[in-house]
Amino acid sequence: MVIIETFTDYQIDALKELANIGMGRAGAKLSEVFEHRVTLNVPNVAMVDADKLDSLARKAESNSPIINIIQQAFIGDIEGRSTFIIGGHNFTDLVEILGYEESDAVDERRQKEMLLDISNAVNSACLSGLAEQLTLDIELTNPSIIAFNKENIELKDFFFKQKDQQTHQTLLFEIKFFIKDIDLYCDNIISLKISSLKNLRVALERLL
Amino acid sequence: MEGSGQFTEFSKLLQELSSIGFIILDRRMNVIFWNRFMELHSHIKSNEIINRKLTSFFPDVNEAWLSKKIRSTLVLNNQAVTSWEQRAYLLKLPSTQYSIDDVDFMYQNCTYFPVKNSDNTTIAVGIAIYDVTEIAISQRLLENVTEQALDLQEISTHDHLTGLFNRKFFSDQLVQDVSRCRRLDWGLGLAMIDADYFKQINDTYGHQIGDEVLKELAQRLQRTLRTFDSLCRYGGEEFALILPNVDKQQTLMICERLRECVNQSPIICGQQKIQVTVSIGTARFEKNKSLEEMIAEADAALYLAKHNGRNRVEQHQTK
Repeated sequence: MVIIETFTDYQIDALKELANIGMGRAGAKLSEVFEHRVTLNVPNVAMVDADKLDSLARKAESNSPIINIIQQAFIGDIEGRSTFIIGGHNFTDLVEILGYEESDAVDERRQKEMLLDISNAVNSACLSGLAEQLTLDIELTNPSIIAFNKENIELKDFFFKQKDQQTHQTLLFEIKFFIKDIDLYCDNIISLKISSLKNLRVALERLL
Repeated sequence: MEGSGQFTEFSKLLQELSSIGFIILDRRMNVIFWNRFMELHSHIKSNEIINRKLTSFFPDVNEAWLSKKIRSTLVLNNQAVTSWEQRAYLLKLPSTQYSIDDVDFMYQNCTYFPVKNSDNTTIAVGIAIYDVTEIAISQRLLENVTEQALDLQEISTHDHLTGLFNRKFFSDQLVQDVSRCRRLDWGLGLAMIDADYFKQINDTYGHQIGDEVLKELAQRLQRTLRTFDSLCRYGGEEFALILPNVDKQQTLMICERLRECVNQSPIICGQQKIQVTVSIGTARFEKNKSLEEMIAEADAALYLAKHNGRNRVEQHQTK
């Protein structure tokens, strides 16, 4: 039987606060890597129904008709996955911040590599930001592209399906990532495995 | 120093490792470690490349990109990977696969990771290079085979000229659809469709034009149908149609629509406008009726349509 962990409002607020501190540090590091000012913030930390995740993700980038989604699992003291959502565009902005060549912007394999690159960088920064604050040991696994240049509306069913989850609630961090200079706005959704909620609570209680 | 002594031991082990390429680069991309795998595959000795810039030995590496990758690993203190699927190789090394003659380089998966000193500060970036040529080649073969298999399936179920299903498919599909309709207690309609005076078209305009007309005819009919109806080329200018889940009235209505979509405007082939019509005979599936009987009934109804003046739909009448 699965014991469903819950968090008090106070704990949720604390998590949000810690996440925002973590994102501040992550943003500074990413700014150094991308050589542009990166802003990261956490507008929302909440318990949600696992099966509502997809509608949340779609809402996140609903102003872009074409989107890309890259997913990365993380393992360690707490486990879950990070979903990076980036609007479909011409890739020229990514070319610049990731050190690619101009011609790469139209090469599909390079476009995919850029998506994996940016997702991995942002996810590493965000997760290590979180892990540092909570003194947890987490490691990211390799990213994989689960939607490449897909119509936003096509994404109804397929990408947030989890084999082991029914209608349990899980904890989710909604992170906004943007580089204002080049008009790049992305969303990152970190969702925890239900089985990891206990460890997170323990880590949090240690701090509070 | 104890720590550095240990490091030397480990580095000696890594140095000897010959199944994975192992490189360490400092922040300026100078090589500070180059293992035996790298020596063997690149034909560059460790003492030649140590303290030299990696890109001076591998000029086709995109330097801006690699330096970004190194920097990002140093700053973010994270691991990153590149896969052969997006980037065939990081460093161009010759392939060692003698059995495959059209591959002249090694496909590589690479992992980039921070290298820390004893007080845990990241000082350099390690790169592990995995030879995945065999995987890449198998993947490519698999893709080719899959493509061929799909082609074969297309050939075995479809008519080459019109792109419609072929007669063999029709026989298999009819068995399936009949058993499904029987199970669900649905009706099923069968129609035989034949182009009128088609021999004259061939004789007048030639077989090439005749083929074009057949293609256009097939497309018009197909466009008029639902996705689960099966339209098949039965022979020369004859088509067979299976209509699952329709009653008698609907069968007639659909066939009337088909007749009209051909009749309404001539088919245009280059300079020629060719008026074509079709005759259609229909039959229905009933319990205790064999598939052969049903086909024979539709054929008889088609004969009747021809006999009664063509460009018309007739249904089989049970006596």
